[in-house]
Amino acid sequence: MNPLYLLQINNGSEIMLVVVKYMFVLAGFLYLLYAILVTKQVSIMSKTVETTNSTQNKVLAFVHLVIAILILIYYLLVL
Amino acid sequence: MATKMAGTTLAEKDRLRRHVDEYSEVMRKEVPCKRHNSAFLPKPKRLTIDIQAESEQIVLVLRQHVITQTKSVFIVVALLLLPLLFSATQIFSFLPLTYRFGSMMGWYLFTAGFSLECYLKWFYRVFIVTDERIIDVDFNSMIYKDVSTTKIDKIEDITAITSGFFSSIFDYGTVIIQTAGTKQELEFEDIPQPAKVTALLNEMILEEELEKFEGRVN
Repeated sequence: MNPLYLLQINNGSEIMLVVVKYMFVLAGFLYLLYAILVTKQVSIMSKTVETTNSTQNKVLAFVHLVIAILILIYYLLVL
Repeated sequence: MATKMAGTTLAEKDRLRRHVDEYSEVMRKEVPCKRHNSAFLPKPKRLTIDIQAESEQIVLVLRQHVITQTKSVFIVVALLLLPLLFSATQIFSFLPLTYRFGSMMGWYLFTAGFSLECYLKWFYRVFIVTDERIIDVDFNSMIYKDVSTTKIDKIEDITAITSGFFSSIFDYGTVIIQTAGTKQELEFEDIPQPAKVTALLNEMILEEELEKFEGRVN
């Protein structure tokens, strides 16, 4: 999506959609920061308390991070 | 005996230290657990903590009783069902399909993140009893961690509190440990079988006193 399409806005509903889109992008970006924090904390906590579930927890946190990235990309490119 | 023990090396003292099954009636009845997903883990295999000494044995690991997480489960179920309510009422029908799909994905991602946080907070908030110390790892949020330890021989008083209907039915409660250390009170909140934990701690205090008397202490 070319951000320059902003210059071709013709009516109020398009302005609203652009605002909504960038609200989604902002929310997605903030959530991505949270997902990175969760992944980092799982790694730290797995070092503090090492169990047989440590690998599983790290995988869960990593999958959550990947999905957050994909959704942010969707918001940037598709919306 | 005290003179003989004074010249004893660290390795010899480790050999003289008794296994928990030798002095604890409570732990003798418990089978070592292999799975680490529950709230009561006696003699857990392949579980270590970063501040654990080489010869230190983990005797018991506790988490909050699973039933205390019911509120989080209900919240997650409500979050999962909320988009169905919105789609039935057509509140967001003015948005294009891509936006509605994006908002639904974002909502389920948020729900997944909330579930993950609840699970991780429950999983990593542990109370650990070793043969030398008790350790309280508090993981209250993603950005707050508190690790408190106290030696068994510094324990002055142990109180177990079980109050409420669900606590009595599911046998969980709070064990409050008064210590002579810097942190005067450690609290094991909503742990399963608090009476058993109290009995174990009392046995360990007696063993520590015996170790000191016999000169086996490190």
